[in-house]
Amino acid sequence: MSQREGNEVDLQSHSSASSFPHLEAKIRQTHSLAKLLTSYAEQLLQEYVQHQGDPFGLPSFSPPELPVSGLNSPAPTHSGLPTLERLQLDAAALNSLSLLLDTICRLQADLNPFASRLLRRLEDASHQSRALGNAVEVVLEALGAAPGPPEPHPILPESPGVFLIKLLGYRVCGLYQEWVSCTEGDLSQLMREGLG
Amino acid sequence: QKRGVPHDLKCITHNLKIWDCSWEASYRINHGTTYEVCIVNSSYSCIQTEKTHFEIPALSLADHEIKISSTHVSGNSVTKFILSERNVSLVPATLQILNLTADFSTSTLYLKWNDNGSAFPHHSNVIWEIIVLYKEDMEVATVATFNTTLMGKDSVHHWNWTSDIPLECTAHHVKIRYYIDELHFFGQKEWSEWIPLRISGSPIKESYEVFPRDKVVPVGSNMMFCCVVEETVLTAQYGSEKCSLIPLDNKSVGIKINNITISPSSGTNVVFTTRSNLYGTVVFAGYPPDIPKKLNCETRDLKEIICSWNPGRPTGLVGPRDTNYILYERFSGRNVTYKRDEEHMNENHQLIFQMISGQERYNFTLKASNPLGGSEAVILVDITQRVYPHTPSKLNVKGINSTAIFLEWHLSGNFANINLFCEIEINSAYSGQELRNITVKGLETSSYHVSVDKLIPYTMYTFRVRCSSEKFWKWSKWSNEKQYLTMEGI
Repeated sequence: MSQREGNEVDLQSHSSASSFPHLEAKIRQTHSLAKLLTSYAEQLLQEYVQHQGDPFGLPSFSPPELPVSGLNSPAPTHSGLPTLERLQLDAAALNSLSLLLDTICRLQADLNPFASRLLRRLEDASHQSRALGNAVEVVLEALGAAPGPPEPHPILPESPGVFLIKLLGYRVCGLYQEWVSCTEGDLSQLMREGLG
Repeated sequence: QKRGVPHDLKCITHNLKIWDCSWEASYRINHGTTYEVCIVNSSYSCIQTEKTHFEIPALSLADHEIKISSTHVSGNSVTKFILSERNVSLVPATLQILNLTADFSTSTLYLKWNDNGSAFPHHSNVIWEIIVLYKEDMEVATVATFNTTLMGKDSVHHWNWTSDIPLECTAHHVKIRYYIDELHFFGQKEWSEWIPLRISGSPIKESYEVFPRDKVVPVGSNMMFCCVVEETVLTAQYGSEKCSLIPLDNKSVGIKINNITISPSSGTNVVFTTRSNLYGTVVFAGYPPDIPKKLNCETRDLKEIICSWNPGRPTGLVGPRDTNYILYERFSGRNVTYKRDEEHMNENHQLIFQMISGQERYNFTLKASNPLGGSEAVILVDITQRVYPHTPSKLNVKGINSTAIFLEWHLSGNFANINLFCEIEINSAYSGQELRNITVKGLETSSYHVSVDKLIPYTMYTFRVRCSSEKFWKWSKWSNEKQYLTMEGI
């Protein structure tokens, strides 16, 4: 049995005959949310770069990935992990991102007080990230998986200059896009495995 | 020259009071030679010394004979010199520098020093020269020359200079010297030596590499930005514009931007790129606040005064750099601060000032300020002459008889101390439109009643009312209309 098969989730065993349809619906619903937020995350990043001034948004602009303590991009090995473990990591990251996006929103309110659409998108993204994180946790709980590691409180550099604030926001919006898309993929995997 | 015989006698003075003289001994045997220095035909006693210099009070302008007798085991000698003020050099003493500090946020150096004037017998003109050198090749950044006068007492002098390169970008070396142009001195006058100064206080160099950091500057400024990092900087850009690199120091490279244009609200990015990294800062180019235009103060209810104004030219600065407005009232000493209401960004700017019991005249000064400067506008008002009442509400009609009615309406506001001047519009298909004006005693947030007569029986009328203060400023808006059919005539 390949290592992959050993990791597959047998949804039937995790739920009674009566609750299986409910669990299935919950997974599909969470997947749809992740899919929706994936497109929102793309729009957020585009909107974000438009308000930071050149060179943000220019094709040549590819800054090194700023370290955000407490949160990294999904590891290359992520896709090789058991599905439930991947979903645990997704949930933790999404909860961290909710705090980060809220912080970026407040920082941008000083820089771009008139950019109401950007500010609203950042605020929405913070709530939506939290909502998706919670939804994934509900699925995990229903599957009997222990909750993931508590999300470390992200620490931002002290009195960062304005340019660092812009870079940080750029990085966080990028991370949000990565993790939402990763969550969508992991839920697709769960559906393939569990729902056949 | 015989061994140990004094020659080349030289005298200097720092303060015209003491001459400090020294000589050369052609073959210096310091050990064991003693000297006796006498000023021939003078009241001064001779000086015994083993050194090759001596101090004497400044002598008169005439020639003086100095006799130096040297005694040594290997033999004695007597040497005579003719010394007068003309042979003495005035060399200013080393300065007592009080303080050289730097304000890194403005790239400004502040020098403060004491001219030691009390050591000088009388008023003298002094020329100061200050040089600042920077960059690795010690380029001259500036040379400042200016005059002061020694006043017989110690005076503290100040000088400040703003560098065109952020002080963090490259070491700045400052030195000062001075020259006392003493008119009553006939000897040689020379500059003091250069006194190198060290800047006290160092920049807050966190991990930050690009300077200046998040500076706010006037549109049109010329600026230098620099990146101080160990790596090799490959490119630099200002917004979307690529810039040529200017080497400053071994770890510092800069770019020069002239005539900066207004920034977007989040500032203009200045980015330096190395092979594996990217470093940046942001500059906010904007304008100081315009003088507030059309400053107007009026009241709707004689309880609150509403001052509104037009901010004039946009400054280009927002958020924490936005313009701050404070309304001061001179007579009461009170003030109110404007807080930009995030929701209504573009609405006219206005502030509400609570009226003060018993005070009718108000002397308002509206002060505007942002990081680039400030401005103000002033207005003096008698607020009872600036009443713009609210719209009359709850208009109601009651019949008295077939040709007269009672009109009643409500008006909020503390008008007890003034008279109101109201206008009633009476409309009917039959007699068209008629305006009647009445003066009513003002009340405290109350209903007002008037009777309207000379109407036509059994006729449909439409009434509405508006008010102003008797000292007219503005009409209120018209109240809603009220229709009424007068009674049938008997």
